[in-house]
Amino acid sequence: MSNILFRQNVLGGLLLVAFGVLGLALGASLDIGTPRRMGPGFFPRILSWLLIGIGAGISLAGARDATAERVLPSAWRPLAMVTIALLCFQLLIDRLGLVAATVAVVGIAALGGRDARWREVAALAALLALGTALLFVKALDLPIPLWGR
Amino acid sequence: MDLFPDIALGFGVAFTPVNLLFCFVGALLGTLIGVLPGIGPLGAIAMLLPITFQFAPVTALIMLAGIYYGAQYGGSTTSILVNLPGETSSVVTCLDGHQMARNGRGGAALAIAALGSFFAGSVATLLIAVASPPLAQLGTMFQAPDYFSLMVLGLVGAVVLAHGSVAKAVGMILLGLLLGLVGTDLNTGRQRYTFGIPELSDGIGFVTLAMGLFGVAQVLVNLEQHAMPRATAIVGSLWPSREELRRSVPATLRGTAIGSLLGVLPGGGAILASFAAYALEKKVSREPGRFGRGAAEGVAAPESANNAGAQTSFIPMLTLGIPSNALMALLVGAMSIFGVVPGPRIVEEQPQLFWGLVASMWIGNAMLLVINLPLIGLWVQLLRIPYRLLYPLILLLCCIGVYALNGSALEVGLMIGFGLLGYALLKLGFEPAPMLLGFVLGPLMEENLRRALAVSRGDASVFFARPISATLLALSLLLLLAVLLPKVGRIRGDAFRE
Amino acid sequence: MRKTASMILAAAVGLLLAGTAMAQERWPSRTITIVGGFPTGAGTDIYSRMLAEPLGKALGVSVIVDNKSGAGGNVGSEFVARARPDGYTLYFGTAGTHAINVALYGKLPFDVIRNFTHVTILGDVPNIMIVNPKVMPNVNSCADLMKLAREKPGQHRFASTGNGASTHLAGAAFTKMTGLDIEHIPYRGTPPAMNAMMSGETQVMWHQSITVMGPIQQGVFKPLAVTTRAPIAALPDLPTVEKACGIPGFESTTWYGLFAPANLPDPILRRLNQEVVAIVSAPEFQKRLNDLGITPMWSTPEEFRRRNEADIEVWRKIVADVGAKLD
Repeated sequence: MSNILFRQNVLGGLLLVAFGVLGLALGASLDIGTPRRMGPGFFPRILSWLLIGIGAGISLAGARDATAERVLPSAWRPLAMVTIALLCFQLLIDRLGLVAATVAVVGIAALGGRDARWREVAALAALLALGTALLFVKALDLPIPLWGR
Repeated sequence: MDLFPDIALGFGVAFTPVNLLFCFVGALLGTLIGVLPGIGPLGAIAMLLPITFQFAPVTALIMLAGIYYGAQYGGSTTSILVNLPGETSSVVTCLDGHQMARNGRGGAALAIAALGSFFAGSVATLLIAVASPPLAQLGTMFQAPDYFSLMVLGLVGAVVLAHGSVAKAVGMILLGLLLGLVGTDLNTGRQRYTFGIPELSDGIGFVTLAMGLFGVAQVLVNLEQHAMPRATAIVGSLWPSREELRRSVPATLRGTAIGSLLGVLPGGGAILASFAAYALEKKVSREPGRFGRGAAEGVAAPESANNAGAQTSFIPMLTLGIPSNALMALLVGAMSIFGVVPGPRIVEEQPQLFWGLVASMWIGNAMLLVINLPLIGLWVQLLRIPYRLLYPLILLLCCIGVYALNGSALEVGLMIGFGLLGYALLKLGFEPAPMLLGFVLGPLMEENLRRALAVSRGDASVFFARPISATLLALSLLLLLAVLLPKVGRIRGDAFRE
Repeated sequence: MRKTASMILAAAVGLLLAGTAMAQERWPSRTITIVGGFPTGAGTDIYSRMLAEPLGKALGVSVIVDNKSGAGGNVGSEFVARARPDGYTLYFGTAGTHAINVALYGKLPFDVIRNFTHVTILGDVPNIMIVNPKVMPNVNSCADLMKLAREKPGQHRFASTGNGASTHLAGAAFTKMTGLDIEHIPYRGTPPAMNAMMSGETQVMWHQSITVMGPIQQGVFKPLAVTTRAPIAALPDLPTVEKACGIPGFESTTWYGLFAPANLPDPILRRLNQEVVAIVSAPEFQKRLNDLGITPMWSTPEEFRRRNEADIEVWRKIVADVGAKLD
C-alpha cells in the first residue's frame, strides 16, 4: 500500500485534493450568490472543486503507473533544523531583537548542514548579527528592534 | 521635428553635474537595496524618499527614478544568483536566470539582463518622448471586461510557462488562484480564509509567498539532497557567448514590445509583461525544451519586458496625473510634497521638469549599465562562498526582508509555512512559477469578472461585445488549443506525466 | 581558519556588547517612529512626512515614518495600541481608523478611545465630488449630474477606493439622501478607481481632496462640489454639496490626528502637543496643507478626544444608514 501511496504523483495529487477540500470546508460559510451576482463564495467553491478534480486525476494516474518510485525525504535533520531556525527568528525578533534572532537563525540553520563546524558557525552568526544591525537598522533606518521591544 | 528642442532641453537639465550625480547615486542605492531579498522598487523608494526632500524637485525626481530602475535591476540580480524574486516581475527571471547561474553562466545571465534592460529602457524612453498621449489613451480604454479577458489570456499562458506536465501546471495555477483569494472580498467586505488575522485581511503578501516558495524551499531542497549548487563554477567567460547573444536579440525585441504596451495598462498590465514575454518566447522557439534549463532568451525576454513596462508605466502618471499602481501613487505623493503636480499641462507649464525627467530616464538606464556590468564579476565571486555559509545568509535575509515589510513576525511564520509547502511541491514534481502567476492574476480576474457583470447588470455578452475583450478571449482560446491539441493525440495517461 | 574565526567572533561580540550601552533618561533621546495605517504615498503618509521633518528638528532626534498598512488601518492601529507608551511610537490616525472602523468592523481588537492617548487633531480632509469632463461633457454642476441620474436611473455608477472608505461612505450617503440610483463600484485603492474614472467605467466619484487636487488643477477632473459645510481654501469657488446638490445638512469629512499608546506620561504628551501644534499652526505649513486641500486644525488632547468620541456616534449612524459592513 505504502508503495503506491508514496509515489510522487499520488502524493502530489492528494495534496491538491487536500487543498481543495480545505477550500470547501473553510469557505463553507461564504455566500455563493448567482452567476450574475457572484458572492464571495462563488470562485472559491469552483476552484476548490477543480482542485479536487485535477488532484484526483493526477493521483489516479500515479497509482496506475507501476514504474513510479517512492518519494521520501532522504535527510530529516536539515529540514528540521532550518524550520526550527526560522521559527526562532519569528519568536525572537520582537521579544529579544534582531541581534538575538540573527544569531539564532544563523546558528541553528548552519548547524543543520552536513559539514557544520561550530567555531565557524559562531563566527558567522556574530558577523551577520553585526552586519545586519549596521546595514538594516543603522544605515537603512528600518524599524527593526535591535534588542527587543 | 519639433522633438529636438525638447529633448535638447531635457538633456540640458539632466546633464548638469548635480543631476547626473544624483542619478548615479539613486541608481547605485537602488541597485544595492534591490539586491536585498524582499525589498523591491516600492520598498527602496519608500526607504530613500526622505533623503530626497532636501533637493530641488527635478533633482529629487531624477534620483527617485534612478532608485526605481536600480531596485528593479537589483531584484533581477538576486533572482539570477540565488533564485529569490523580490517582486512579481522578477519571478520569471528566476526560471532560466538561476539555471544559467547553476550552469556556471551566471555572469552571462547578469550581462544579458543588463543589456536587455538597457535596450528596452531606451526604446521605452523614446516612446515616452514621442508617443505619451496616444499610449496614455490606450491605457484608459481598458475596462473590467477587457481586464478579465487579459487575465484569462495570462492564465492560459501560465500553462505554457511550465515545462512539466500540463495537469500539474494547471493544478499549481488553481492552487495559486485559491491562495490569491485569501483576504477581504472587495464587493461585500467578507473575510475569506483569513482566520480573523488582521495581517491577512489584505491578502497574503507576494514577498512572503515568494520568499517562502522560492527562497526557503530551495534551501531546503538543496540541503536535503546535499546538492550544494556549484553555481560557483564559472564556465567560460563572464560575458555572454556569441550564441547566447544571438539568441537574446529577438527575445529582447519582442520583450520590449510586449512590455512597452502592457506597462501602460494600469493595474494588472505591468505584472503580465514578463510572464507574457517569456511565454511568447517559449511558444515561438524551435526548442521549447531549452526553457527552464538555462536558456539565454529566457532571461532576455522577461528582463526587457520588465524594464520596458516599468518605464511606460510612468506614462499615465506623467501625462494624466493618474497613478497606475502603488508605486506611481507613491511618486505622485512624493511630487505633491515637492509641490509638483503631474498632468496634461505639465509639459507646457514645466517643460524642463518633464523633459529633464525623460532624459534622465535614459541616463538612468545607462547608469545602470555603467554600475552593474563591472559589478557582475563581484556578484559572481559572492557565489563562491561555500554553500554551508551562504544558505544561512540567504535564510536570514529572507527573514529580515519579510519582517521588515510590515514589522510583523507573523509574516515570517507565514513564510516558513510557504517554505515547507514549496519544499513539498518541489519534491512532488510541481513547479512554483505557475502558482505564483495564478496567485497574482486570480484575484484580479475574479474582481474584474464580478465588476464587469455588475456594470453590465448581469449581461455576460459584454465580454464578447467589447472589441478588446473579444480579441483577448479569442487569443486565449487559440493559445489554449495550441497547448492542448498536441496532447490530445497521445494516450490519456501521458498528459499527467512529464 | 580556526584562529580567524575565533578572532572575528571575539571582535564581533565585543562590538555588540559595546552597542548595548544605551541609557534612556530624557525623552527624546532616540528615533521616534510615526506609524501610519496606510501605504506609502497615501494622504496620511504625505502629511506625516511633512510633519516628521520639522518635528525632528524641534525635538532634536530623528523622526521616521513607518507604514503598516492593512485592514483599513487596523493593522497599524493595533500595533500602536500594543506599543509601549514611552513616547517613541506615535500613530498617524484618521477618522477612518478611529471612528468609522468602529462602526464598520464588528469587533476591533482594541478600543480606539481607551487604548490610545490623543495628542492633537491635525486637519480635516474633505471629499470632492468629481467627474471626468471627457466622459461627462455636459455635466457642469451637481444639479446637472442629478438630473442625468434621475432621467436614466441605473445607468450611472460611482467609484470608491474600497468598502467602508470615506470615498464609499460619502457617495453612499449622497445616493441615500437624494434617492438617486447610482450604483457603487468598489476598487482596490486609488489607482484602479482613478482609472475607472478615466475610462468611463464610472461617472462620478467622491475622492479625498489630497489625491484629486492635482488632477483637478490639471483639468483632468472637474470638481462639482465639496463635502464640507463650507468651501475649502484651495478651491474657494467650489460650492458645498449641501448647496450645490440641495441636500441640507450634508457633511462627510474625515480628520487626521496624532495618537500615542494609552497612558503616555503627561510631560511627554504636553511637549508633543506643544511642538506639533506649533508646527501645524505656522503660516507656511498651513499654506502647504491648504494647497493640498487639507484644512489645518490643531487642538488640546482633551478636545481631540472629545471630538473623536462624538464622531464615533456620527459615523455609526451613517454606516448603519448606508448598510456598509466589513467582517
